[in-house]
Amino acid sequence: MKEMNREEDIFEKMKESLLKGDKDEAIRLAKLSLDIGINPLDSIDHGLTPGIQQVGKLWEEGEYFLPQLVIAAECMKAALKVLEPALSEKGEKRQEIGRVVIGTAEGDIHDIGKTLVATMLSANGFEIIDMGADVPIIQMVNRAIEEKADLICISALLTTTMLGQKRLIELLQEKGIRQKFKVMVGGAPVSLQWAKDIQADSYGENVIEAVSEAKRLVGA
Amino acid sequence: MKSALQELIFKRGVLFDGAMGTELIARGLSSGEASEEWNLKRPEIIREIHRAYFEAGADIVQTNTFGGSRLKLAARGLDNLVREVNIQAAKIALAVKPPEGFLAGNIGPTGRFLQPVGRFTPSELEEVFYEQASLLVEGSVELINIETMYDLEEAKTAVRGSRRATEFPVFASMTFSKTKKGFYTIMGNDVPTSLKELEKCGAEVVGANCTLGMPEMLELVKLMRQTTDIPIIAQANAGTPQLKDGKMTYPISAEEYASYAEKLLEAGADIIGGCCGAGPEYIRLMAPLVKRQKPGREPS
Repeated sequence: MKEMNREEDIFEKMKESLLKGDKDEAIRLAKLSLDIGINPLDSIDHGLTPGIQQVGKLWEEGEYFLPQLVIAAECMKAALKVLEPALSEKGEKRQEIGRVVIGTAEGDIHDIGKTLVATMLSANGFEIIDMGADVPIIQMVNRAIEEKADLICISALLTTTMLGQKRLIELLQEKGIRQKFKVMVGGAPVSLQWAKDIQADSYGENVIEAVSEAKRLVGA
Repeated sequence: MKSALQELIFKRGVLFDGAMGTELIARGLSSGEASEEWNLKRPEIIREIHRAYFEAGADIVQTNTFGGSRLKLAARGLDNLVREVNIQAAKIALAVKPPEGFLAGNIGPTGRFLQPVGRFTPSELEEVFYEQASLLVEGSVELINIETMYDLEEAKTAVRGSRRATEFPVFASMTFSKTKKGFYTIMGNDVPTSLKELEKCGAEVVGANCTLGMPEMLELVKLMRQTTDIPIIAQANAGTPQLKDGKMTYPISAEEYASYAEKLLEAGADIIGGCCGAGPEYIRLMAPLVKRQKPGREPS
Protein backbone atom coordinates (compact mmCIF):
# COMPACT_ATOMS: atom_id res chain seq x y z
CA MET A 1 0.00 0.00 0.00
CA LYS A 2 2.78 2.36 0.97
CA GLU A 3 4.64 1.41 -2.22
CA MET A 4 1.55 2.24 -4.23
CA ASN A 5 1.33 5.69 -2.71
CA ARG A 6 4.98 6.32 -3.42
CA GLU A 7 4.45 5.52 -7.09
CA GLU A 8 1.44 7.73 -7.37
CA ASP A 9 3.25 10.49 -5.58
CA ILE A 10 6.05 10.34 -8.13
CA PHE A 11 3.64 10.27 -11.07
CA GLU A 12 1.90 13.33 -9.64
CA LYS A 13 5.22 15.12 -9.22
CA MET A 14 6.22 14.23 -12.77
CA LYS A 15 3.03 15.83 -13.99
CA GLU A 16 3.75 18.90 -11.93
CA SER A 17 7.30 19.17 -13.24
CA LEU A 18 5.90 19.46 -16.77
CA LEU A 19 3.24 21.95 -15.73
CA LYS A 20 5.88 24.09 -14.05
CA GLY A 21 8.41 23.58 -16.83
CA ASP A 22 11.03 22.38 -14.36
CA LYS A 23 13.44 20.31 -16.41
CA ASP A 24 15.86 19.46 -13.60
CA GLU A 25 12.99 18.18 -11.52
CA ALA A 26 11.64 16.11 -14.43
CA ILE A 27 15.06 14.47 -14.86
CA ARG A 28 15.48 13.92 -11.11
CA LEU A 29 12.09 12.23 -10.86
CA ALA A 30 12.77 10.02 -13.87
CA LYS A 31 16.02 8.82 -12.24
CA LEU A 32 14.33 8.39 -8.89
CA SER A 33 11.55 6.32 -10.46
CA LEU A 34 14.14 3.95 -11.92
CA ASP A 35 16.09 3.78 -8.64
CA ILE A 36 13.05 2.65 -6.71
CA GLY A 37 12.07 0.18 -9.39
CA ILE A 38 9.05 1.78 -11.00
CA ASN A 39 8.42 0.38 -14.46
CA PRO A 40 9.43 3.14 -16.92
CA LEU A 41 6.33 2.43 -18.98
CA ASP A 42 4.17 3.25 -15.98
CA SER A 43 6.06 6.50 -15.45
CA ILE A 44 5.40 7.45 -19.06
CA ASP A 45 1.76 6.41 -19.07
CA HIS A 46 0.78 7.71 -15.65
CA GLY A 47 3.20 10.59 -15.10
CA LEU A 48 4.57 12.19 -18.23
CA THR A 49 1.74 11.60 -20.70
CA PRO A 50 -1.05 12.94 -18.46
CA GLY A 51 1.28 15.83 -17.62
CA ILE A 52 1.83 16.86 -21.23
CA GLN A 53 -1.85 16.36 -21.96
CA GLN A 54 -2.72 18.68 -19.10
CA VAL A 55 -0.29 21.28 -20.48
CA GLY A 56 -2.02 20.95 -23.84
CA LYS A 57 -5.41 21.38 -22.23
CA LEU A 58 -4.32 24.53 -20.43
CA TRP A 59 -2.98 25.85 -23.70
CA GLU A 60 -6.28 25.16 -25.43
CA GLU A 61 -8.09 27.00 -22.67
CA GLY A 62 -5.89 30.04 -23.17
CA GLU A 63 -4.11 29.65 -19.80
CA TYR A 64 -0.79 28.55 -21.27
CA PHE A 65 1.02 29.91 -24.31
CA LEU A 66 3.76 28.80 -26.63
CA PRO A 67 6.66 29.17 -24.15
CA GLN A 68 4.99 26.89 -21.59
CA LEU A 69 4.23 24.36 -24.31
CA VAL A 70 7.77 24.38 -25.68
CA ILE A 71 9.36 24.13 -22.25
CA ALA A 72 7.02 21.34 -21.10
CA ALA A 73 7.82 19.42 -24.26
CA GLU A 74 11.52 19.80 -23.48
CA CYS A 75 11.03 18.56 -19.94
CA MET A 76 9.20 15.53 -21.28
CA LYS A 77 11.96 14.82 -23.79
CA ALA A 78 14.60 15.08 -21.06
CA ALA A 79 12.68 12.67 -18.82
CA LEU A 80 12.12 10.23 -21.69
CA LYS A 81 15.84 10.27 -22.38
CA VAL A 82 16.38 8.91 -18.87
CA LEU A 83 13.57 6.36 -19.05
CA GLU A 84 13.96 4.98 -22.54
CA PRO A 85 17.31 3.17 -22.12
CA ALA A 86 15.82 1.36 -19.13
CA LEU A 87 12.85 0.47 -21.24
CA SER A 88 14.92 -1.10 -24.00
CA GLU A 89 17.02 -2.98 -21.40
CA LYS A 90 13.84 -4.61 -20.27
CA GLY A 91 13.08 -5.42 -23.88
CA GLU A 92 9.88 -3.44 -23.62
CA LYS A 93 8.56 -0.82 -25.92
CA ARG A 94 5.95 1.84 -25.63
CA GLN A 95 2.80 0.87 -27.36
CA GLU A 96 2.90 2.49 -30.75
CA ILE A 97 -0.37 3.69 -32.20
CA GLY A 98 0.91 4.85 -35.57
CA ARG A 99 3.95 5.88 -37.58
CA VAL A 100 4.19 9.48 -38.65
CA VAL A 101 6.48 11.19 -41.12
CA ILE A 102 6.41 14.89 -40.34
CA GLY A 103 8.13 17.96 -41.78
CA THR A 104 7.80 21.58 -42.85
CA ALA A 105 7.26 22.12 -46.57
CA GLU A 106 10.06 22.92 -48.97
CA GLY A 107 11.15 26.55 -48.86
CA ASP A 108 9.79 27.02 -45.36
CA ILE A 109 12.22 27.28 -42.49
CA HIS A 110 9.63 27.54 -39.73
CA ASP A 111 10.17 24.74 -37.31
CA ILE A 112 8.50 25.43 -34.04
CA GLY A 113 4.87 24.52 -34.74
CA LYS A 114 5.89 21.35 -36.53
CA THR A 115 8.27 20.35 -33.73
CA LEU A 116 5.56 20.91 -31.14
CA VAL A 117 3.13 18.72 -33.04
CA ALA A 118 5.85 16.07 -33.40
CA THR A 119 6.59 16.17 -29.68
CA MET A 120 2.96 15.97 -28.68
CA LEU A 121 2.28 13.13 -31.11
CA SER A 122 5.27 11.31 -29.69
CA ALA A 123 4.02 11.94 -26.16
CA ASN A 124 0.73 10.41 -27.19
CA GLY A 125 2.31 7.20 -28.43
CA PHE A 126 3.02 7.85 -32.08
CA GLU A 127 6.35 6.83 -33.58
CA ILE A 128 7.73 10.01 -35.13
CA ILE A 129 10.07 10.46 -38.07
CA ASP A 130 10.76 14.18 -37.97
CA MET A 131 12.38 15.33 -41.19
CA GLY A 132 12.86 18.92 -40.01
CA ALA A 133 12.14 22.07 -41.99
CA ASP A 134 12.49 22.92 -45.68
CA VAL A 135 11.93 19.30 -46.76
CA PRO A 136 11.59 18.57 -50.48
CA ILE A 137 8.18 16.99 -51.15
CA ILE A 138 9.67 14.04 -53.00
CA GLN A 139 11.87 13.20 -50.03
CA MET A 140 8.91 13.26 -47.69
CA VAL A 141 6.98 10.90 -49.91
CA ASN A 142 9.94 8.53 -50.32
CA ARG A 143 10.53 8.47 -46.60
CA ALA A 144 6.88 7.74 -45.92
CA ILE A 145 7.09 4.77 -48.30
CA GLU A 146 10.33 3.47 -46.74
CA GLU A 147 9.06 3.81 -43.20
CA LYS A 148 5.65 2.40 -44.05
CA ALA A 149 4.15 5.43 -42.37
CA ASP A 150 0.46 5.62 -41.53
CA LEU A 151 0.37 9.35 -41.55
CA ILE A 152 2.19 12.20 -43.30
CA CYS A 153 2.04 15.56 -41.53
CA ILE A 154 3.15 18.59 -43.49
CA SER A 155 3.36 22.07 -42.04
CA ALA A 156 3.57 25.42 -43.83
CA LEU A 157 3.84 28.83 -42.23
CA LEU A 158 3.97 30.85 -45.41
CA THR A 159 1.39 31.41 -48.06
CA THR A 160 4.11 30.58 -50.59
CA THR A 161 4.89 27.21 -49.10
CA MET A 162 1.29 26.13 -48.51
CA LEU A 163 1.28 25.07 -52.13
CA GLY A 164 3.81 22.39 -51.15
CA GLN A 165 1.02 20.70 -49.20
CA LYS A 166 -1.03 20.56 -52.35
CA ARG A 167 1.92 19.21 -54.33
CA LEU A 168 2.51 16.46 -51.80
CA ILE A 169 -1.02 15.17 -52.25
CA GLU A 170 -0.75 15.44 -56.03
CA LEU A 171 2.51 13.51 -55.97
CA LEU A 172 0.90 10.70 -53.95
CA GLN A 173 -1.93 10.62 -56.47
CA GLU A 174 0.47 10.52 -59.41
CA LYS A 175 2.32 7.61 -57.85
CA GLY A 176 -0.98 5.83 -57.26
CA ILE A 177 -0.34 5.57 -53.52
CA ARG A 178 -2.69 8.21 -52.19
CA GLN A 179 -4.75 5.58 -50.36
CA LYS A 180 -1.72 4.23 -48.50
CA PHE A 181 -1.28 7.30 -46.33
CA LYS A 182 -3.39 9.69 -44.40
CA VAL A 183 -2.25 13.27 -44.93
CA MET A 184 -2.66 15.96 -42.32
CA VAL A 185 -1.83 19.63 -42.94
CA GLY A 186 -1.17 22.46 -40.52
CA GLY A 187 0.40 25.88 -40.07
CA ALA A 188 -0.74 29.43 -39.37
CA PRO A 189 -2.26 30.29 -42.77
CA VAL A 190 -3.82 26.83 -43.19
CA SER A 191 -7.55 26.42 -42.66
CA LEU A 192 -10.08 23.61 -42.75
CA GLN A 193 -11.27 25.00 -46.07
CA TRP A 194 -7.74 24.80 -47.45
CA ALA A 195 -7.41 21.20 -46.27
CA LYS A 196 -10.63 20.35 -48.07
CA ASP A 197 -9.59 22.27 -51.19
CA ILE A 198 -6.41 20.25 -51.57
CA GLN A 199 -8.07 16.98 -50.46
CA ALA A 200 -6.03 16.44 -47.35
CA ASP A 201 -7.47 13.91 -44.90
CA SER A 202 -7.35 16.26 -42.00
CA TYR A 203 -6.18 19.52 -40.57
CA GLY A 204 -5.09 20.61 -37.12
CA GLU A 205 -6.08 24.12 -36.10
CA ASN A 206 -3.60 23.79 -33.25
CA VAL A 207 -1.31 21.23 -31.68
CA ILE A 208 -4.05 19.71 -29.53
CA GLU A 209 -6.42 19.30 -32.42
CA ALA A 210 -3.53 17.84 -34.45
CA VAL A 211 -3.13 15.09 -31.85
CA SER A 212 -6.82 14.24 -31.67
CA GLU A 213 -7.13 14.28 -35.46
CA ALA A 214 -4.05 12.05 -35.84
CA LYS A 215 -5.58 9.57 -33.40
CA ARG A 216 -8.85 9.63 -35.28
CA LEU A 217 -7.08 9.05 -38.60
CA VAL A 218 -5.24 5.95 -37.38
CA GLY A 219 -8.31 4.70 -35.56
CA ALA A 220 -6.70 4.91 -32.12
CA MET B 1 7.90 70.92 -33.45
CA LYS B 2 6.00 68.15 -35.21
CA SER B 3 7.34 66.37 -38.26
CA ALA B 4 5.34 66.41 -41.49
CA LEU B 5 4.27 62.84 -40.81
CA GLN B 6 3.14 63.55 -37.25
CA GLU B 7 1.27 66.59 -38.57
CA LEU B 8 -0.50 64.39 -41.13
CA ILE B 9 -1.46 61.76 -38.54
CA PHE B 10 -2.85 64.52 -36.33
CA LYS B 11 -4.95 66.00 -39.11
CA ARG B 12 -6.44 63.08 -41.00
CA GLY B 13 -6.61 59.34 -41.45
CA VAL B 14 -3.38 58.03 -42.95
CA LEU B 15 -3.25 55.27 -45.53
CA PHE B 16 -0.50 52.66 -45.39
CA ASP B 17 0.29 50.28 -48.24
CA GLY B 18 -0.93 46.68 -48.58
CA ALA B 19 0.62 43.25 -48.90
CA MET B 20 4.03 42.62 -50.45
CA GLY B 21 4.47 38.85 -50.05
CA THR B 22 1.20 37.83 -51.69
CA GLU B 23 1.85 40.31 -54.52
CA LEU B 24 5.23 38.68 -55.14
CA ILE B 25 3.70 35.20 -55.19
CA ALA B 26 1.24 36.42 -57.81
CA ARG B 27 4.26 37.53 -59.85
CA GLY B 28 6.02 34.19 -59.65
CA LEU B 29 8.03 34.19 -56.42
CA SER B 30 8.64 30.50 -55.74
CA SER B 31 8.48 28.83 -52.37
CA GLY B 32 12.24 28.33 -52.17
CA GLU B 33 13.08 31.99 -52.63
CA ALA B 34 13.47 34.75 -50.05
CA SER B 35 11.32 37.67 -51.21
CA GLU B 36 14.07 40.10 -50.10
CA GLU B 37 16.38 38.57 -52.68
CA TRP B 38 14.16 40.07 -55.36
CA ASN B 39 15.42 43.53 -54.32
CA LEU B 40 18.61 42.46 -56.05
CA LYS B 41 17.34 39.99 -58.66
CA ARG B 42 14.04 41.53 -59.77
CA PRO B 43 14.07 45.20 -58.68
CA GLU B 44 11.68 46.18 -61.48
CA ILE B 45 8.94 44.02 -60.00
CA ILE B 46 9.40 45.44 -56.51
CA ARG B 47 9.34 48.95 -57.97
CA GLU B 48 6.14 48.17 -59.86
CA ILE B 49 4.42 47.03 -56.64
CA HIS B 50 5.53 50.13 -54.72
CA ARG B 51 4.33 52.33 -57.57
CA ALA B 52 0.96 50.57 -57.60
CA TYR B 53 0.51 51.37 -53.90
CA PHE B 54 1.46 55.03 -54.24
CA GLU B 55 -0.86 55.32 -57.24
CA ALA B 56 -3.63 53.65 -55.26
CA GLY B 57 -3.33 56.53 -52.80
CA ALA B 58 -1.10 55.17 -50.03
CA ASP B 59 0.54 57.93 -47.97
CA ILE B 60 3.21 55.54 -46.72
CA VAL B 61 4.81 52.70 -48.64
CA GLN B 62 7.26 50.32 -47.04
CA THR B 63 10.41 48.60 -48.25
CA ASN B 64 10.53 44.90 -49.17
CA THR B 65 12.67 44.05 -46.16
CA PHE B 66 10.37 42.11 -43.81
CA GLY B 67 12.86 39.25 -43.65
CA GLY B 68 15.87 41.50 -44.17
CA SER B 69 17.49 41.21 -40.76
CA ARG B 70 20.85 39.47 -40.64
CA LEU B 71 19.42 36.59 -38.61
CA LYS B 72 16.45 35.97 -40.86
CA LEU B 73 18.59 36.15 -43.99
CA ALA B 74 21.06 33.75 -42.36
CA ALA B 75 18.37 31.06 -42.26
CA ARG B 76 18.72 30.94 -46.04
CA GLY B 77 22.45 31.54 -46.07
CA LEU B 78 22.00 35.10 -47.34
CA ASP B 79 23.33 37.04 -44.35
CA ASN B 80 26.27 38.29 -46.39
CA LEU B 81 23.69 40.27 -48.40
CA VAL B 82 22.23 42.16 -45.45
CA ARG B 83 23.69 45.50 -46.53
CA GLU B 84 22.77 45.28 -50.23
CA VAL B 85 19.27 43.91 -49.58
CA ASN B 86 18.27 46.73 -47.23
CA ILE B 87 19.91 49.66 -48.97
CA GLN B 88 18.77 48.50 -52.39
CA ALA B 89 15.21 48.03 -51.07
CA ALA B 90 15.08 51.65 -49.93
CA LYS B 91 16.50 52.89 -53.24
CA ILE B 92 13.92 50.98 -55.26
CA ALA B 93 11.03 52.47 -53.31
CA LEU B 94 12.54 55.95 -53.20
CA ALA B 95 12.60 56.03 -57.00
CA VAL B 96 8.79 55.93 -57.20
CA LYS B 97 7.94 57.96 -54.10
CA PRO B 98 5.89 61.09 -54.85
CA PRO B 99 6.91 64.31 -53.03
CA GLU B 100 4.01 64.08 -50.59
CA GLY B 101 4.57 60.36 -49.86
CA PHE B 102 6.57 58.76 -47.07
CA LEU B 103 8.90 55.79 -47.17
CA ALA B 104 8.91 53.31 -44.29
CA GLY B 105 11.64 50.77 -43.65
CA ASN B 106 9.94 47.46 -42.89
CA ILE B 107 11.30 45.18 -40.17
CA GLY B 108 9.87 41.74 -39.30
CA PRO B 109 10.76 39.10 -36.71
CA THR B 110 14.10 37.31 -36.81
CA GLY B 111 12.36 33.92 -36.76
CA ARG B 112 14.54 32.99 -33.77
CA PHE B 113 13.52 32.85 -30.14
CA LEU B 114 14.83 34.52 -27.04
CA GLN B 115 15.85 32.45 -24.03
CA PRO B 116 14.48 30.29 -22.51
CA VAL B 117 12.52 29.07 -25.56
CA GLY B 118 15.43 29.83 -27.88
CA ARG B 119 19.06 30.67 -27.34
CA PHE B 120 19.26 34.38 -28.06
CA THR B 121 19.65 37.21 -25.57
CA PRO B 122 17.75 40.51 -25.89
CA SER B 123 20.96 42.45 -26.53
CA GLU B 124 21.90 40.12 -29.40
CA LEU B 125 18.56 40.70 -31.10
CA GLU B 126 18.72 44.42 -30.42
CA GLU B 127 22.02 44.58 -32.33
CA VAL B 128 20.50 42.69 -35.26
CA PHE B 129 17.61 45.17 -35.46
CA TYR B 130 19.91 48.15 -34.90
CA GLU B 131 21.93 47.03 -37.91
CA GLN B 132 18.88 46.62 -40.15
CA ALA B 133 17.29 49.91 -39.09
CA SER B 134 20.61 51.73 -39.62
CA LEU B 135 20.92 50.32 -43.13
CA LEU B 136 17.34 51.29 -43.99
CA VAL B 137 17.93 54.83 -42.72
CA GLU B 138 21.15 54.98 -44.70
CA GLY B 139 19.00 54.05 -47.71
CA SER B 140 16.79 57.09 -46.94
CA VAL B 141 13.66 55.70 -45.30
CA GLU B 142 11.78 58.27 -43.20
CA LEU B 143 10.34 55.99 -40.57
CA ILE B 144 10.74 52.42 -39.35
CA ASN B 145 7.74 50.08 -39.34
CA ILE B 146 8.19 46.97 -37.20
CA GLU B 147 5.42 44.44 -37.72
CA THR B 148 4.03 40.92 -37.30
CA MET B 149 5.82 40.59 -33.97
CA TYR B 150 4.55 37.62 -31.96
CA ASP B 151 6.89 38.01 -29.01
CA LEU B 152 6.72 41.26 -27.07
CA GLU B 153 10.26 40.80 -25.81
CA GLU B 154 11.59 40.53 -29.36
CA ALA B 155 9.43 43.47 -30.46
CA LYS B 156 10.94 45.56 -27.67
CA THR B 157 14.46 44.78 -28.85
CA ALA B 158 13.39 45.84 -32.38
CA VAL B 159 12.00 49.15 -31.11
CA ARG B 160 15.08 49.80 -28.99
CA GLY B 161 17.45 48.91 -31.83
CA SER B 162 15.53 51.14 -34.26
CA ARG B 163 15.32 53.93 -31.70
CA ARG B 164 19.09 53.85 -31.37
CA ALA B 165 19.51 53.90 -35.15
CA THR B 166 17.30 56.91 -35.89
CA GLU B 167 15.38 59.93 -34.64
CA PHE B 168 12.65 59.20 -37.21
CA PRO B 169 9.31 57.81 -36.04
CA VAL B 170 9.21 54.12 -35.11
CA PHE B 171 5.96 52.21 -35.63
CA ALA B 172 5.49 48.81 -33.98
CA SER B 173 2.72 46.28 -34.61
CA MET B 174 2.16 42.94 -32.93
CA THR B 175 0.20 40.05 -34.40
CA PHE B 176 -2.57 38.90 -32.07
CA SER B 177 -4.79 35.85 -32.30
CA LYS B 178 -8.28 35.77 -30.93
CA THR B 179 -8.39 33.10 -28.22
CA LYS B 180 -11.13 32.00 -25.87
CA LYS B 181 -9.80 34.53 -23.38
CA GLY B 182 -9.34 37.42 -25.77
CA PHE B 183 -6.55 38.75 -27.94
CA TYR B 184 -3.07 37.37 -27.26
CA THR B 185 0.14 36.77 -29.17
CA ILE B 186 1.24 33.14 -29.43
CA MET B 187 3.76 33.91 -26.71
CA GLY B 188 0.96 34.99 -24.40
CA ASN B 189 1.39 38.78 -24.53
CA ASP B 190 -1.87 40.63 -23.98
CA VAL B 191 -2.89 43.85 -25.73
CA PRO B 192 -2.53 46.48 -22.96
CA THR B 193 0.88 45.23 -21.83
CA SER B 194 2.16 45.00 -25.41
CA LEU B 195 1.12 48.52 -26.37
CA LYS B 196 2.35 50.10 -23.15
CA GLU B 197 5.72 48.39 -23.29
CA LEU B 198 6.29 49.25 -26.95
CA GLU B 199 5.47 52.88 -26.23
CA LYS B 200 7.83 52.86 -23.26
CA CYS B 201 10.64 51.59 -25.49
CA GLY B 202 10.14 54.53 -27.82
CA ALA B 203 7.50 53.59 -30.42
CA GLU B 204 5.50 56.63 -31.60
CA VAL B 205 2.80 54.51 -33.23
CA VAL B 206 1.61 51.09 -32.02
CA GLY B 207 -0.85 48.60 -33.42
CA ALA B 208 -1.64 45.22 -34.90
CA ASN B 209 -1.27 43.48 -38.25
CA CYS B 210 -1.71 40.08 -39.90
CA THR B 211 -3.48 36.95 -38.54
CA LEU B 212 -6.88 38.66 -38.14
CA GLY B 213 -9.44 39.52 -40.79
CA MET B 214 -11.37 42.81 -40.74
CA PRO B 215 -14.20 41.99 -38.28
CA GLU B 216 -11.75 40.82 -35.59
CA MET B 217 -9.39 43.70 -36.35
CA LEU B 218 -12.23 46.15 -35.70
CA GLU B 219 -12.85 44.55 -32.34
CA LEU B 220 -9.14 44.72 -31.56
CA VAL B 221 -8.83 48.41 -32.54
CA LYS B 222 -11.56 49.27 -30.03
CA LEU B 223 -9.63 47.44 -27.36
CA MET B 224 -6.32 49.05 -28.34
CA ARG B 225 -7.89 52.52 -28.22
CA GLN B 226 -8.89 51.89 -24.61
CA THR B 227 -5.31 51.15 -23.66
CA THR B 228 -3.25 53.84 -25.37
CA ASP B 229 -3.41 57.51 -26.33
CA ILE B 230 -0.75 57.42 -29.04
CA PRO B 231 -1.61 56.83 -32.72
CA ILE B 232 -2.74 53.32 -33.69
CA ILE B 233 -1.97 51.44 -36.91
CA ALA B 234 -4.17 48.53 -38.07
CA GLN B 235 -3.48 46.20 -41.00
CA ALA B 236 -5.81 43.22 -41.36
CA ASN B 237 -5.52 40.19 -43.63
CA ALA B 238 -8.03 39.59 -46.40
CA GLY B 239 -9.05 36.42 -44.55
CA THR B 240 -7.24 33.07 -44.76
CA PRO B 241 -6.08 31.74 -48.13
CA GLN B 242 -8.29 29.40 -50.14
CA LEU B 243 -7.81 27.49 -53.33
CA LYS B 244 -9.91 28.51 -56.32
CA ASP B 245 -9.37 26.90 -59.71
CA GLY B 246 -5.92 25.78 -58.59
CA LYS B 247 -4.95 29.30 -57.51
CA MET B 248 -4.59 30.76 -54.07
CA THR B 249 -7.18 33.39 -53.30
CA TYR B 250 -8.35 35.34 -50.26
CA PRO B 251 -12.00 35.26 -49.25
CA ILE B 252 -12.49 38.92 -48.26
CA SER B 253 -12.99 41.04 -51.40
CA ALA B 254 -11.54 44.53 -51.80
CA GLU B 255 -15.06 45.99 -51.51
CA GLU B 256 -15.84 44.15 -48.29
CA TYR B 257 -12.42 44.98 -46.86
CA ALA B 258 -12.76 48.69 -47.67
CA SER B 259 -16.22 48.79 -46.12
CA TYR B 260 -14.49 48.47 -42.75
CA ALA B 261 -12.16 51.44 -43.24
CA GLU B 262 -14.45 54.05 -41.72
CA LYS B 263 -15.40 51.79 -38.83
CA LEU B 264 -11.72 51.32 -38.00
CA LEU B 265 -11.20 55.09 -37.96
CA GLU B 266 -14.25 55.60 -35.77
CA ALA B 267 -13.00 52.91 -33.43
CA GLY B 268 -9.79 54.88 -32.99
CA ALA B 269 -7.32 53.76 -35.66
CA ASP B 270 -5.14 56.55 -37.09
CA ILE B 271 -3.28 54.66 -39.78
CA ILE B 272 -4.85 51.90 -41.88
CA GLY B 273 -3.17 49.59 -44.35
CA GLY B 274 -3.44 46.03 -45.64
CA CYS B 275 -1.70 42.78 -44.80
CA CYS B 276 -1.73 39.32 -46.50
CA GLY B 277 -4.01 39.21 -49.52
CA ALA B 278 -4.83 42.93 -49.49
CA GLY B 279 -3.30 44.24 -52.71
CA PRO B 280 -3.35 47.64 -54.45
CA GLU B 281 -7.07 47.43 -55.29
CA TYR B 282 -7.87 47.13 -51.57
CA ILE B 283 -5.81 50.24 -50.86
CA ARG B 284 -7.35 52.16 -53.76
CA LEU B 285 -10.88 51.52 -52.50
CA MET B 286 -9.92 52.54 -48.97
CA ALA B 287 -8.19 55.80 -50.01
CA PRO B 288 -11.19 58.13 -50.14
CA LEU B 289 -12.58 56.60 -46.93
CA VAL B 290 -9.38 56.78 -44.90
CA LYS B 291 -7.82 60.05 -46.04
CA ARG B 292 -10.40 62.25 -44.44
CA GLN B 293 -10.09 65.02 -41.96
CA LYS B 294 -10.44 63.94 -38.39
CA PRO B 295 -13.40 65.35 -36.51
CA GLY B 296 -12.56 68.59 -34.70
CA ARG B 297 -9.37 69.20 -36.66
CA GLU B 298 -9.12 72.28 -38.84
CA PRO B 299 -8.24 71.72 -42.50
CA SER B 300 -4.87 73.22 -43.33
